[in-house]
Amino acid sequence: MASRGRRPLLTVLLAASVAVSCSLGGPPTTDPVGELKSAGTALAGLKSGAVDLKFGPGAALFGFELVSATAKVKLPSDTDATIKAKQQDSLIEIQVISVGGNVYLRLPFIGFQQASAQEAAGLPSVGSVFDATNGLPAVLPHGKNPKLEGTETISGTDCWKISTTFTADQIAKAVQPLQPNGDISATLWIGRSDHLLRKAVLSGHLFDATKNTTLEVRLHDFNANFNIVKPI
Amino acid sequence: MAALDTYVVVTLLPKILFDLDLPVDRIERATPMLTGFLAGYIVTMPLLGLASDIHGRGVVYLGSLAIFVAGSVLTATAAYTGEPPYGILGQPWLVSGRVLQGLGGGAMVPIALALAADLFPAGRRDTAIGAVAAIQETGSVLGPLYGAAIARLAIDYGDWRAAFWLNLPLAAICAACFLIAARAVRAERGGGEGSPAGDRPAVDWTGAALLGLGLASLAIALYPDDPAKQAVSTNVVPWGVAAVLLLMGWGYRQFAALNPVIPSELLRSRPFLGSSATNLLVGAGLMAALVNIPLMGRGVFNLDQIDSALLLSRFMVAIPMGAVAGGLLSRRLGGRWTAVLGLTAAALGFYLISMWGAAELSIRVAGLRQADLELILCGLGFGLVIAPLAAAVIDLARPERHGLAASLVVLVRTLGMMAGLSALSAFGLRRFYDLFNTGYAPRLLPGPDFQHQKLLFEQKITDSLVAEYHGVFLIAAGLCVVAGLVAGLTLSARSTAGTTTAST
Repeated sequence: MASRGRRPLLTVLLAASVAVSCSLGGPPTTDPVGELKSAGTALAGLKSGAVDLKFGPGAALFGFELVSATAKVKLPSDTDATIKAKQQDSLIEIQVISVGGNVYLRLPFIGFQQASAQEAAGLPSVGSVFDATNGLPAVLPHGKNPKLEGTETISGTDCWKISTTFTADQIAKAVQPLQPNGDISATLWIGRSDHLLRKAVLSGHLFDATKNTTLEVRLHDFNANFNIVKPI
Repeated sequence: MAALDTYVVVTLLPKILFDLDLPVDRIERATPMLTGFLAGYIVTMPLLGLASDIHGRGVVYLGSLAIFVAGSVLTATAAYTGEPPYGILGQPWLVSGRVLQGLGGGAMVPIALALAADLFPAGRRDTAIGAVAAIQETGSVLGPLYGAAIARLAIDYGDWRAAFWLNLPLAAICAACFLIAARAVRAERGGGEGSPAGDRPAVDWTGAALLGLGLASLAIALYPDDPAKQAVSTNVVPWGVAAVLLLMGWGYRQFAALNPVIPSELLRSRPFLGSSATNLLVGAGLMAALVNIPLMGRGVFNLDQIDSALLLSRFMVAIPMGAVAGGLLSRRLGGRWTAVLGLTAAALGFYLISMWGAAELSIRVAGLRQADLELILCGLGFGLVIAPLAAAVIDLARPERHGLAASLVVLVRTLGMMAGLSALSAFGLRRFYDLFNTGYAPRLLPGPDFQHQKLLFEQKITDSLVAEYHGVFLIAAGLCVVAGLVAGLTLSARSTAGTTTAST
């Protein structure tokens, strides 16, 4: 009798607990494949943005050890980028401005020099991450085996944290000055509401086939009003 | 500890600049890291010796030590967390730390001297004061090497920051030793510290503020905020005018105030003025070597941190050796000729250094490196002038003002160092930009010629640095020549060492 009397109560408690857990929602979830596609679309719709690159050990370009790079980009092609490299104990700053189809370079202690078309083609274009054809907007939807890792806040924005893998060719075009070999692992932080990529950490053979290194990419100042002008 | 930290940054500058995210072509931003310390040092040195007479050695010494420690913590934590751009947490944070270090460190020297005078009777006092002064000079000499060595040893534990973190336990030891010494003084005298309230002279805080603001304005006026375009600040006129007015105001107060920091009887004498002018020029010349030798070691000779410090150590070690010789020579030759001899040697040394090329360190004379001999000659010259210049001032002061007179000698030399550093850095940077941008401009752009252009670029940097240092060291040689002339015309020819007299 007693056990029979308790059964409806247990049923009610069980139903209530299911209802409560459903109303709390559990950990938020999303389809990582769809999220990567949305991120590509959202980035492709930008008119401007800024990118910061932070290189791990072993990143090198033209014999200089790369430290970091920043760029303000006014799409489709105007860019004001600063690349920082280490030589001995000193920090060397190289500025590359691309405006109206012309490319200008500033090295330490020298004013700006205009690069010829051939020279400009050999210079890394840090701003290429925003390029709709070859940059991250084009590459993101092609991430292999994306997996939702959870949610995190990046610079005050709630983001999906997704891990995936890209091919060397995809990354080489999207993120300059990388010269990757083999598959590149990536962890991406994508805004939950606007689907804009806020941060990416790439790891693998980013500069040559022997050294494993990392690169942190941060995107910010979306659609900001940048004024990129000819330096000379 | 304070003396060690005066020049500790000299050999650490490249790494500090790197960690503050300051590129090599913004090296002018390193200048305030040295001038900030020196300015703090200059402001408190004459002020807090007197303050310790009034308020007691303990309060002022321990307070100064606390300020020094706070400055060390600020310096060590510059750009410590977060990522560039550091903004106020980077270079301004570090410079603030260095200013605090200077404010605290500047007070320790006169208080340590005064405490030595308190602890020892008249007959043994000179030895005690001499020992304190020797420790101070030794600290200055070892500073650059100490910094480089600590940074090397602590490469995995904060690198250059370790040199500043280490000040915390050192300060704790200093405080403990000081408290023991102060207790001994109290036990001997059976009383408390400080002057009786009725006898208290006033500490000239307004004068100190004028001096501090004047020095800060001078440093800003001479700061090359855009070295690619001009040698000094873009606002050199307003800051320069402000500096002149503030320093004139400070000077006026010294004449007018009842208890001037500088006794008026000193100010009126020709040997005092001559000695001070010489000391000012010596300070400026000294700074040319202290800063530019290690930088030349890094930039031209491709030496590492330790080796560039060791290169400078030839010069630094010769200074105390010259100082001892200067004291002995002054007894035989008199102050004037000893100073002239020393400054002639320093000028000759600088002249020879001004002719150094990129392969200088491979040149040997009788089995010894020629560069070392020239550095030793220059350092010996600077050492020779210390005793005659100090004696010229101390001998003019009343015995009860000896400590103050001695601190004035150091103060004026430090003032010269600060002005010299600011002016020579401004000149050097401007000269480098002019030289580097004259003639063929390397095109460091991708293409088949890239490696050749990179070599040209590096060669041009080396050539421009060598030519820049030629100019800086020639100016330093000129400063020594002028200082020698001033000393020759103003200092007493007779032997002065140990013949202190009350002046009128």
